Parts: sequence; C-alpha cells; structure tokens
Amino acid sequence: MIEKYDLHIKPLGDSALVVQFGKDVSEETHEKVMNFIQAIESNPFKGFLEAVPTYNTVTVFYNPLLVFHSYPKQHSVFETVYERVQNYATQHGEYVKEASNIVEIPVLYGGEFGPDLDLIAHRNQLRTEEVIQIHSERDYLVYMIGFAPGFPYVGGMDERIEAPRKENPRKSIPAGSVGIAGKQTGIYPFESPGGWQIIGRTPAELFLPERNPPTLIQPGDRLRFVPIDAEEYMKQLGGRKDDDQN
Amino acid sequence: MKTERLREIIHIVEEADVDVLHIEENGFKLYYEKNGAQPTMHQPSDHFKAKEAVHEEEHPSEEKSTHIESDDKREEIVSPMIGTFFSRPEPGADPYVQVGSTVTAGDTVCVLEAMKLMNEITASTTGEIVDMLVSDGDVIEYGQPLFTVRVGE
Amino acid sequence: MTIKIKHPGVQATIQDFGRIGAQKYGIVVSGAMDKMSLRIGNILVHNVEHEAGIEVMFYGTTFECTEDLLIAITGGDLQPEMDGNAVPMWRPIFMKEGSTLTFKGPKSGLLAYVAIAGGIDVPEEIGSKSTFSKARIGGYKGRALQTGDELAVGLLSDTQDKVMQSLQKLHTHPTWYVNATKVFAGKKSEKIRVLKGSEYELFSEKSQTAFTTGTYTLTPQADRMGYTFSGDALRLSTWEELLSEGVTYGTIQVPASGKPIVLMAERQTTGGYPRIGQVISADLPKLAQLQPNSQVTFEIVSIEEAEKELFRLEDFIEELKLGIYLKTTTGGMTQ
Repeated sequence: MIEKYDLHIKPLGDSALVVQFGKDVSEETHEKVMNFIQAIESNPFKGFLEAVPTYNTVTVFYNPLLVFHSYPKQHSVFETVYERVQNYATQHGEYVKEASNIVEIPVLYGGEFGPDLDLIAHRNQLRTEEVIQIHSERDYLVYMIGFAPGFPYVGGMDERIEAPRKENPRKSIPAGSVGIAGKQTGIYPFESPGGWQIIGRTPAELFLPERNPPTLIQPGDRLRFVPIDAEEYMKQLGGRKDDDQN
Repeated sequence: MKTERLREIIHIVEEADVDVLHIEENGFKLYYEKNGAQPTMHQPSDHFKAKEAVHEEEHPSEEKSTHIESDDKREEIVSPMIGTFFSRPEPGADPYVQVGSTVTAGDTVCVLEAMKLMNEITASTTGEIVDMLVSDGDVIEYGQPLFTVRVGE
Repeated sequence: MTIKIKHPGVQATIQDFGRIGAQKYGIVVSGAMDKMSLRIGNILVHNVEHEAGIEVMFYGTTFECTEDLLIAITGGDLQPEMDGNAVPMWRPIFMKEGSTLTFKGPKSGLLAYVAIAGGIDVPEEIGSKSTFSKARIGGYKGRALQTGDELAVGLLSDTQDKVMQSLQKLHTHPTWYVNATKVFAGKKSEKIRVLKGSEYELFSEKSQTAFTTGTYTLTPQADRMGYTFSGDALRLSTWEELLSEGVTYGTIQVPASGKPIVLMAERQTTGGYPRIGQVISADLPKLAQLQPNSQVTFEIVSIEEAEKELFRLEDFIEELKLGIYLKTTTGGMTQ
C-alpha cells in the first residue's frame, strides 16, 4: 500500500492483478484510473496484455511466461509485475489529462419505446417533459464499460428522476433501450432481460465490431442524451442501415 | 534443451556429411542416425521424475527381438527406444499383458513414455509371455529386453 | 477443403484462445474452455498453437469431410467414432474424404476439441475466431454450429501435407499418443487449487472453513459463462455493497444465494459479487472438464505455487512439442 496515492495492489489469480485507487466513485478517482491506463498502454511492460478500468480499479492482465522470460528473476512473476505497475501508478502526474470525448446519444423518449417514462414522472411528481429535460440537460461521465460489449456505467444522474428497479424484470428489453435504475442511467447495447425502468430508445448502434475501438462509447467519455422525435428516429435508423452497407 | 535448438541440430545433421551423431553433455544425450532416422534423446527434467526419451523407427515391429537358442523356442521382446516402462494404459487399468498371457504378433504389450508421448510397443511374435523383465516406472534403454515369449502357434 | 455439419449435438462452437485486448470495451474474452487441450491438438497437427478448432460439448456432434483432412481429437473422452469405429484421441489422425466423425458421449470429461490442420477458415472479429453468440461475432456467422453449416479449412503447409500423406500410407492410426494425464485426469472428483479471492477475508469464518474443507458439487447450471456449485452456503460476515471490478477465468463469485459460481471462458468482463477465490491457471482445464454432479474440493495455495504449476505445464508442453516434432517430421514418422 502506497499511502500517498491511496494505492492497493492485489493479485487476481496468476495472470492478472488489480490496482485499486481509493474506495469511492468520484471523478478524482476516475482521473487516476484513466491516467494509469494511459501510462501503461503508452509504454507497456513486456508481457502486458490489457488493462480494464472500473470505477476505482484497473485490472492488469499479463502473460506470466513472457514476464518471466523478459525480466530479471525475482521471487515471483507477480512481484515483477507489481513493481512495474507501481511505477506507472506513481508516475501519473506527468500525464496531461485529455479533454473528455463527448458522445451524443439521440433518444426517442416515451411512448412504446419508453414505457416507464410516465411511471418515473408520476413517482417523482414531475411532468414527462420535465423528466426528459432533466435526463438530457447534463453530461454523464462514463466510468467504465462492462456487463455487455459497449454497456456504459455512468454517474451523475439528477436525483429528481431516480427510480428503483422493476420488481419483476422484463424478459426482453430491446437493444438501444435507455433506462434508469436507482441513481444510474444506462443504455442496453443488446436485447437482453433486465429490471431497469425504460424511458426511451436510441437508434444509435453501441456495438461496432468492424471498427476499432469496437464500441461507440468508451471509458472516460461523456454522454449527452439528445431528445429526438419519431421522424428523426426513423431517419437515423435508416441512415445507420445505409452506413452498414459501407 | 529448447525445441528450436534441437530442430537446428537436426537440420544441421541432415545437411552435413555425417550419418551418426552422438552428443552427451550435462546429462543430455542425443543419438541421431541419419539414414535410419533414429534420433533418441534423453534429458533429465527438473520437474518430472520420470525420465523420457524418444526414438523413431520406421518399422518398430521388426528387429526388436533376438533369438535365444533353447529347446522350446524363446524370444525376447526388446525395446525399440529409450523410455519409461508402463504395463498398463493408465493407472488403475488392467495391464496389457501378464506372465501367462497369450499374445499375437502386433498386440500391444506395454507403453513406453518418452517426451510426454506414450508409445505402444507391440509383440513381434506369437506365443506366451513367460517372463516380464522390467517393472512399471523403469527407464528402459534402447535394445533392452522387456518380455520373454515362448514362441507358439 | 470443407467440413459439413450433419448434427450439432448438444453444442459445438468454433473457438481459439479468445479475444484479448478489448475487455475495457466490455468485449468478452470467450475462447476455448480447455485451452490446453486445444493447444495440444494444434501442436499434433502442426498448426499455430492458438488456431481455432471445434469445441464439442457432451455428445452428438457429427460432421463429414468432403476432402482428406489431418485432424487430432483431444480433451475429454467423448468416445469419438469415425465411420462407426472408435477413433483414438491425442494423436494425429488421417480423416479420409467422405468420412463421418461423431461423438457418442462422455466416458470422461465434458469437452472434446477437434484441431484441423490448416485451421478453420472463418474471419477473425476483434482479433479472434472465437464464437461469442450474444454479440453475434466470431465462429461461423457468430453462432454455435448448426446442421448444414459448411466450414472451409485453410491451406496446409508442406509439413502438414507430408504428415497427412505418411498417415494415409500407414492405413492405421499412430500407436503413440500424448500422455494427457498431466493436463487433466477426467475424474469424477477433483481437487481444484485456488488463490484467496479479493473478498476472502470478508466471508464468515464458518464460510471460509466450509469453502476450504467442504465438498462442492457442480450443478446442471453450468455453461460457457459459469459453473455454479452447491454445497455449504457461503456468507459474508456482514453484507457489503461492492463496486464492480474486473474478473477473469476462474474467478469464484458468491451471489446472495451463497452458491459459488466459477466464471468460465465466456464470462462478462466485470462483476460485482464478492470473490472468495480464484482458480489457478494450471487447474482450469480440470475445472472445465468437470461433468455436472462431479465433486470438487478447493485447496488454497500461494501465488508462487500457482506460477510454479503454470511453468510446470509449460515445461510439459515444451517437451511434448519436441517429441511430436521428432515423431512426425524425422524420416519414418508414424508408428
């Protein structure tokens, strides 16, 4: 444990380790996480495979055999990686913070695409227009991607539009659905079962396997929900289809 | 010795004007005969107790028995390779043959482990196993007798 | 060269070593459940070690080849048969044009691998040929194999061609095979070695004892994402809400049910349940090959021991590669 950086490193098996930066969900912790990722990816140690950020941690995956053959022998491969990882974590001051990439997510709110919008409005004693306005008037920081390819974990939703998960999760929620669960908002990249309150749907494709990176939203981005009408929704959906032909 | 290094050596021997190569160095043994294509090697391992080797032979069922002159005709099944002897396919299984078993030429009589490969050794003659000359886990040398067979019809 | 799927069986998918490098976008690693068996299969047919093969689960998978193939069947003994005759595993096999390969069902283990010389000619998506059905990427059209699917096979190298020809001339299968007991034994009960998980200390003393001394049974809730075990319920001393964190193959999570779930090849990239343990890499093949109702005990080992075991396996592979190389390429290949 390096107190100065509130850093804690622990093994995740024999081929990965977890670096923990603080215990809270905060933009400050997130910045440390992203700095670390930038440092390790721009100058990886031999045997490094990939780094996966979460709210307050980064999981570093490595090939133990490559590490073993690349560095002077120490007590264990874990210790070798541990030392290198410590260096990246303590160097972070040298890295300049990049401006967040803003990703606009067009959303058709309410109606059949947002069956729970009225419920959230009623529950929070708001008009549906107010829920839409509150949901779309601020940017949301993407802390991490998980659960499914391209599924963003974002923070910073206004507590005036909070709502608990559904008691009986739906068997199927269509891809592109925008929902609220507790203090969280998010988007389903794929059709899947789920308990989120669904307030709208985006025509945007979140998973783009032919592209690099293969997802529309990346850790560190800021999301901006942009209300659109049905006509615009159909237009963008059509545009996407054309785009797929390219 | 690393795979790449050994491949290099074999390649060099293939190219060179020699027929037989015999290296013995730090407990590592390599015997390579070009035209017969019979490399054997023996390398002690830090991690595994069993000693292994590998041996190539185009026709293993031939030339692996020697005749012993006696009244009832006996033959020995000899090892065509260096390897660790196992009388059964896996621990707990029945042995391939025991003393008293009748074998037909071509029957598997044991396996020899070399370089993590299990090599089925077959009888070269038909008859009755009258003696088993080695035990499970023994490291067998090239040409070492494994079984004595009373040759029958 | 083509492989025609006559019957998919319980589940057959194309898998390589999985997608590395895109987990931060939520892209699941996927890949072979028992990578060691796929790797050995590829070594036997002179493919690159991470080439994609067919992962056969349980039984019933049947395919025909419309051209001669050089293959190797490794992994669990699902009693493979070629044109009605038992076909031996863990060695290179000549599969004649028009032959049909089928799997009768497990004698031991759960997953068999068919490695095919030349590899399976499907496109790499996000750096891998592995099937990941949820995102419809990898494998054959992003899904498990179905009846009527036709798979193309890549071109053979000169070495592969020579090996196939010498096998064809042999008119029988090689009498040598890989000693696979070092990889997994396919037993009904296994000792699985684990490292303490990140939240191990948060579990009650009783639960820690149960985990390390008790017997856990693999339930039928077992698929490529995770294996759920039943046994003494595992509980935290006091409930703590945890933030999602990175997980990996072999992470043992415990949800509110108290039943440990071991995350497998097609796990999600992050998880939020407390982690009581982490299966060491060297024991993942053994774990993957467990049949439902198999019993396991978990034994805690140190990170040094986990690494040592991994290096032992690597030594085994190194020696095996040399042995196979000598067997199949120096002069008189194949007996």
